[in-house]
Amino acid sequence: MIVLVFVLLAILGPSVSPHNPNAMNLTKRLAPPVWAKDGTWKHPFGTDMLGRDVLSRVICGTRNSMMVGLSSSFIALLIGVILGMISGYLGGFFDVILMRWVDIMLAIPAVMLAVVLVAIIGPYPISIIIAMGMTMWSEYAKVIRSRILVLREEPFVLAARTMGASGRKIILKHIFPNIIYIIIVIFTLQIGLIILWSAGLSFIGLGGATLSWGWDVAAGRVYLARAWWLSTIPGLAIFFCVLGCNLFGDWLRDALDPGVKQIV
Amino acid sequence: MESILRVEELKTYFLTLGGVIKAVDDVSFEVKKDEFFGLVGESGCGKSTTALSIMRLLDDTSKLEGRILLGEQDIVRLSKRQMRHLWGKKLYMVFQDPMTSLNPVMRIKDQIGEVFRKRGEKAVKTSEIMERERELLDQVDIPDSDRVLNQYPHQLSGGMKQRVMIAMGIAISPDLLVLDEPTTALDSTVQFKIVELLLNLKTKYRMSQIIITHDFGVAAKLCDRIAVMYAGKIVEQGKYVNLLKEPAHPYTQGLFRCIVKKDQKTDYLETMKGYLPSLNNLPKGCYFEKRCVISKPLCKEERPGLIDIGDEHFVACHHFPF
Amino acid sequence: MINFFIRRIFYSLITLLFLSIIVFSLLHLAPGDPARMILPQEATEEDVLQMRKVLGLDKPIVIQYFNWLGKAIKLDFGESIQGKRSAARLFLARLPATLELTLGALILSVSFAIPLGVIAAIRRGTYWDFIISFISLFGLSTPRFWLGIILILIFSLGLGWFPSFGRGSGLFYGIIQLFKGDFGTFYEALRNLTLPSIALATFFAASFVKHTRANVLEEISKLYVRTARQKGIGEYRVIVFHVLRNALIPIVTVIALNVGLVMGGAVITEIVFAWPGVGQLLINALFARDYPLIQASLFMVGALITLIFILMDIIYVALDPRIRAKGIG
Repeated sequence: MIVLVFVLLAILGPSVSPHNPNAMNLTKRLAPPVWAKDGTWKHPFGTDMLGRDVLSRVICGTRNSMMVGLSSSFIALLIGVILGMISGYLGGFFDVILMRWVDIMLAIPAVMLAVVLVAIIGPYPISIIIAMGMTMWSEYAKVIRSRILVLREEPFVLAARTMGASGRKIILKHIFPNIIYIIIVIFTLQIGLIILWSAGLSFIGLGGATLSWGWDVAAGRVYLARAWWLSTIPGLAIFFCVLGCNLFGDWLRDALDPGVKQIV
Repeated sequence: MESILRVEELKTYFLTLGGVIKAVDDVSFEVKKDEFFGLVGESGCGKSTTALSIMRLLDDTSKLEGRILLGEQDIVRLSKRQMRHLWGKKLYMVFQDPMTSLNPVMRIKDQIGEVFRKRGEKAVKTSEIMERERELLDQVDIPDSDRVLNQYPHQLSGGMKQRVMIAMGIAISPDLLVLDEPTTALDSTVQFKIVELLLNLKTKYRMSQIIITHDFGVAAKLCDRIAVMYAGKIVEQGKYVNLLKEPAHPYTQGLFRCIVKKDQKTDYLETMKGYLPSLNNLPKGCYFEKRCVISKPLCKEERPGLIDIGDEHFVACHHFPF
Repeated sequence: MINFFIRRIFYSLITLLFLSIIVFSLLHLAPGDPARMILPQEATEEDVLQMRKVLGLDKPIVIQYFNWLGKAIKLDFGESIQGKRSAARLFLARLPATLELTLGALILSVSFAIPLGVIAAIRRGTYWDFIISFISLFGLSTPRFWLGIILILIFSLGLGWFPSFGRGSGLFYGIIQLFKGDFGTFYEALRNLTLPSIALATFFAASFVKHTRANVLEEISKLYVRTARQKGIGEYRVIVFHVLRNALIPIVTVIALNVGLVMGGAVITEIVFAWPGVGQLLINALFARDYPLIQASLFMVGALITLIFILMDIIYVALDPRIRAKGIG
C-alpha cells in the first residue's frame, strides 16, 4: 500500500505540493518543522537554507526518484534478459565472452563503476539512469542464462523442436513463461537497491537533478547542528520509499510463488 | 516375554494448509525383547511415519495422540530435551536414504565418534575411540577401516553408508533399533549383503528391532512377527509364519500373491487393482473396501477393528466374526 | 588440486585483462581532451598538439593501449593531474583507510548477521523470526549515507560519544601502537571507526541475515540433521557442528560477492564521515577529470577484489570436501 502512495505522489508530484519547491524565500530560512517550537503548519517540515519548503521538495523529489528507479530497473532488465537469453540459447563464443564480462563486473564495485559512468556522461539526470542500468544488468543475465541452459534440455523444449517449431517461437512460447517469474523476482529485489544507490549518487553530487532526495540530504549536512530536519526528512522519504518497494516486492514474490508448500 | 515397546492407539496428525491429515490411525502393537518386528506395506501406508512417531523425530507440524510405552515410560508427551536422553541410548533409527543420512562435511570417524563423546558421559580417550570404531566397521563388514574412517561420506558407496549407519547403531546398542527400508535404496546385490549383515546382528546382539519394508523377501528372512499396514491402519498382525501360511486379510493375501515365488511359472505378474485412498479423503467404512475382492455392504459402512483369530494373530476385517 | 589453482589464476588474469581494457577505454570515451585539461587555459593549438604527443595520444589506439597496459602492470599510471604525484602512490596511500572501513563493516555485519540468522531459522514462525525479519527489512531499506548522518546526529552531536568525522591515525597504526603498550591510540582509532562501520554494515548485515536464515532453514530439514539429533548429542552441538558447518559454506560465497559492494558503499560512507579513503579520492578525481588517478583507482580496486575472490575460492574449497573431490570446471 505504501508503494501506492509513493506512486501516486510521483505522478501527481508538483500539483500536490503546497509550495513551489524551488521558490526561495530568504526571509523564512531554516524554519523548523511543525512539531518544534516556532514551527508552523504552513511549512510542516520546515524550510531549507534557501527558504524552500521541505515538504514540497520531498513530494516533488518522489517523482525523480521513482522515475530513476523504474527506468534504471527496466534498462537493466532489458539488457540483462536479452543478453542472458541469447547467451544461454546460442552459447558458444558469445556466451564465453559474456560470462567473462559479467565476472569483471562483479569485481568492480558497482558503485564505482556507476560513479565513473556518471562522471563520464556528464551531470545530466539521464546519467544516473544509464549508469544504474549498466551496472545492474549482470544479475539478470547470469540467472537467465543458467535457467535457459537448463530449460534448453528439458523434454518439452526438445519435443517442441522435434515438432518443427522455429527457434524464435520456442523462445517465446515455451521458455518465456518459465523465466518470467525469475525476472519478476530479480526486479523486485533490485528496485529498492537501485533507488538506494541512485540516492547515494545524487548525494555525492553526481546526479543531474537538484530536486532529488539524495541531493537534499547532502545539502542539509552543513546545517546538521542547527537544522537537523534538512537532512533527516528527505532521508526518511528515501527510507520509506525503499521500504515500501521491498515490502511490495516481498508480497509480490510470495503471491506469485509457484508451488510453495506451507505447513501451518 | 517382556515387551520393549508397546504402542497403544497411536495417532499421528499432520497439520497442513490443506487440512489435517491423519497419517497414522489408531495403531497398536507390541515389540518384545530380542524380537524382530516388521512393519510392512505399500509406500505411503504410514509405516515410516509410525516409526518416526515412535522415535519422536517428527517436528512441530505434527501431533501425536495415544501412548508409546518404552519400558514403563510413556514417551509421547516427552519434550525434545527429555527425548535426548533416550536418543542415542535406548532408541536409534537407521533411515531410508543412506545418501543423505550422513553429514557431508564431517569425516566418518568424527561422525561415529560423536556417539562416544556425548555430554555428561565420562571422557574416553581418542585412541580408544578409534579402536572401537575399527571394531565396529569390522562388524559391519567394511574392509580397510582406517582408510574409510578418514573419508567423507561422499567417498563411500550407498551400501557402505548404510553400514556406517548400522555401525553407529551397534555402537549405541539401544534397547530398540528401528530400520526404515534398510535395503530399498540399494542395488539388489548390496541388499542381499545388508540382509545377511542384519541376520548376523540378530544372532549376535539380540537387539529388539523394528524393520520397515515393503519387501516381503526381507521381512521373511528377518522378522519374527509383522504388522501389515494400510492407509495408516494395521490390517493384520501376527507371527510371520502364521501370516505366510494363512494370510487372513484380503490385502495381505493380495500382497503375498504378488510375490513371485522361486519355482513359479506364470505368464504374468499379479497385481492389485486400485490405489491407496487419499489421506485427505478417507472413506467411512473399511479403507481397503474399494480394492477388496470380498467386500460386503457392511464394509462400506463400518470400519473393522482388530480381531484375535488365535495365536496372537490379529486381523481387521469384517469377514471374521467375533 | 593444483590444476584447479592454475585454472583459477588463469581466469583471473583474463578478467584483469578485460578490466584493463575497460579502464583504458573509459579515458577515451569521455568527452574532453585530456591534453587540454592538463594545460593551462591559454594554451595554443600547437601546445595542445605537443601535449598530445607527449602523452602519446597521437598514436593509434591499440598501441596506446598496450603502452598503457605495460605501464599499468608496473603500477605506473602516470601522474595525477591534480596532485602531480604518482597516481598509484596516491591511491595506495589512501587504501588502508578504505580497507579498514570495509573490514570493520564486514566483521560487524557478519558477527551480527549469522547469529541472528540462525535464531530466525531455528525459531521459524515465532515472534523472534518475525522481529528479525522485520529488522532486516529495515536494514535493507536504509540509505547508508542517511544512516550515517543520523548516527552522527544522535551519537556525535547529540550524545558526544563518538567523533563525527575523521579517522585520526587509523586502526592499523593503532594496532602497532597496541603492541607497544599504547592502548590509547588503538582505542581512539576504534572510536573513529565505529560510526562509519555501523553505517556501512547495516545494509549488508540485513542481507546476510536473510541468506543465513534461508541456508540454515534448508539444512535443518535435511536427513543427516535427524541422524545427528538422534545420536543423542546436544541440540547446541547439532546446530553448530552439523547445521552451521554446512549452511555457512554458501554464505562464504555470498560474503565474497558482497565485498565488492561493501567497498562501493564505503565510497559513499567515506564522504559522509570525511573518512580519508579511496572513495573520496575517486570522487575528487572524477570531478577534476583526473584520468590517471581514476584509472589507477579503478584498476587497482578491481585487481584487489579479484584477488579477494581467489582467496574466497580457496577458503570455499577448504571448507567443502565435496568440491575437493569433484574439482572445479
